[in-house]
Amino acid sequence: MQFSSQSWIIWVLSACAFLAVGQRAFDAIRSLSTDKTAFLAFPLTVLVPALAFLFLATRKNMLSAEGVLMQVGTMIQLLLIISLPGFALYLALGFPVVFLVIELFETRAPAPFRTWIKTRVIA
Amino acid sequence: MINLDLPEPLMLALRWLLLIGPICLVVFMTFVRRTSTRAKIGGLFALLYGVPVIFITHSIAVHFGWWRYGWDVLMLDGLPVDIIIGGAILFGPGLYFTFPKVGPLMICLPIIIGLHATVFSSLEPLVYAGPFWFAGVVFVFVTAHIPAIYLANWTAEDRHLPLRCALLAIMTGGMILAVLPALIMQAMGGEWALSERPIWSTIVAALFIGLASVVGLSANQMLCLQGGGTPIPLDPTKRLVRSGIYAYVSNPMQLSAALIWIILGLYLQNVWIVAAAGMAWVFVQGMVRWHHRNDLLARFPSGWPDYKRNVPEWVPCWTPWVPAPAKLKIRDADLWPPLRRATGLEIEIGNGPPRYELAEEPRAFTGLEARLFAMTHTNFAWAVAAHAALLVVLAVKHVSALVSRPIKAHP
Repeated sequence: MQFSSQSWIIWVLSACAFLAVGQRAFDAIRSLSTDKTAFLAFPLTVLVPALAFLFLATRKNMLSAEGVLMQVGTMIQLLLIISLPGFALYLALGFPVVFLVIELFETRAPAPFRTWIKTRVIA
Repeated sequence: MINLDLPEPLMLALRWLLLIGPICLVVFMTFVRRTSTRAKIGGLFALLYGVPVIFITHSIAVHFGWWRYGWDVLMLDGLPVDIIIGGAILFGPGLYFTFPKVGPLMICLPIIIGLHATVFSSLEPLVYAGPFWFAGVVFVFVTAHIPAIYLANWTAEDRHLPLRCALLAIMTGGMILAVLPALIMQAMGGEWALSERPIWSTIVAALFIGLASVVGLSANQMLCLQGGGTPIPLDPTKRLVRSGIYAYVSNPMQLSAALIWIILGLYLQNVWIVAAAGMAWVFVQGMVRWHHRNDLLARFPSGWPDYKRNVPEWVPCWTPWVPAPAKLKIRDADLWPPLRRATGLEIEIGNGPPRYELAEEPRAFTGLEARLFAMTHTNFAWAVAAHAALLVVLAVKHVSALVSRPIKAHP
């Protein structure tokens, strides 16, 4: 059996990521006339997470429902890393928390809540 | 040697190119060469090996003044993170995917001589070359880049499992001991300042870290020897490993990492590194358990649940859990006293060299190895001591076998 996320979730997250990358690109170009920090940091802090986001967004057919939740959780974390450069290192170091949240959701969350979320997230 | 005076915009573009270029190369080569899944895993392992080893070797280079980096952007302990990652991508999956049939030495030698030797000293303000920079470049290639490409090659071709596991152990050690603490201190504050700390505390910390490392390294060794795979689930074991250190604790590698962070944090007087042990717990709860449910339970539906019921995750039990007894054939005079109290070990007194056989495993061990493996049946303390000796004994045996039968890049 294979699982996929709802396409609207991927589209909404992708639109947000596109806007965040655009904003960071604008900041990088603007910084060229001053200290160049944002420009030099752009490939690692924006393009690399954006490529990872793109890779995840194009993944289809996970082997488990948990896999879909992990895909969506990781995309949200990457989106936060791109959008909040001041917190990017903390968010990157806290990546295992994403998987813990999903594990707790799968094993500890009340069944009705779990079902309600899954029917909305998983296609 | 060519001494150029390159304009700053070109240097800015070069810094971008050092990360973007390798990424584009990998993506392009993956499509052009229709890289196999196995080769992609090899490329990923090469990248994972490259990041910590390049970080450590460049830290040594900066410490000894072989070179230093300009532009105080994305710096981690004086090293630009984007260049480290770009280097790990280029001298890992990048060059391996580009030249999959060429030996790593033949790939790297022209780069060392043709590129580094000619333009390295012209790259200011990106990098400022100091004295002995060429020796430093050779050092980085020998320890980081060439082994990374070998790792990709061997993983893709599923060869030299012990060497692959050794390189992955170096990678894990580098991540645990160098990269993650450096990132934590970058985020939360703190400094290494190793030379300013008392010698006695450094020695005590090194001893305890060494002891904690034995737990993780022996787990790696057991997965290689008895599992026939690596610790990373992308290149998994073929058999369920429940013996050795795994008979005492089911997460020995995560336990080892957590202990190392606690010891390192106490040594560096940094509460955030101590707290990283909590992140090891989070990792187990979030990622490892998911892997257990979806991989190990699916592949070993009878053995895995039985093992999980009987072996604790974090606090090792004092005596091992052994589902089917192993056999030790040994002369009475050679029987070490602790072995008389061993758990799950059938001792047969007989002539000839000692021979140890696990009930479920295909291979047997003789001589000193047999006695050391038998010692892992006594209690946790003896098991750690025996595994520490096994790490050395089996590594020496394997290396001496390689010396008499050198590695070939391609069969």
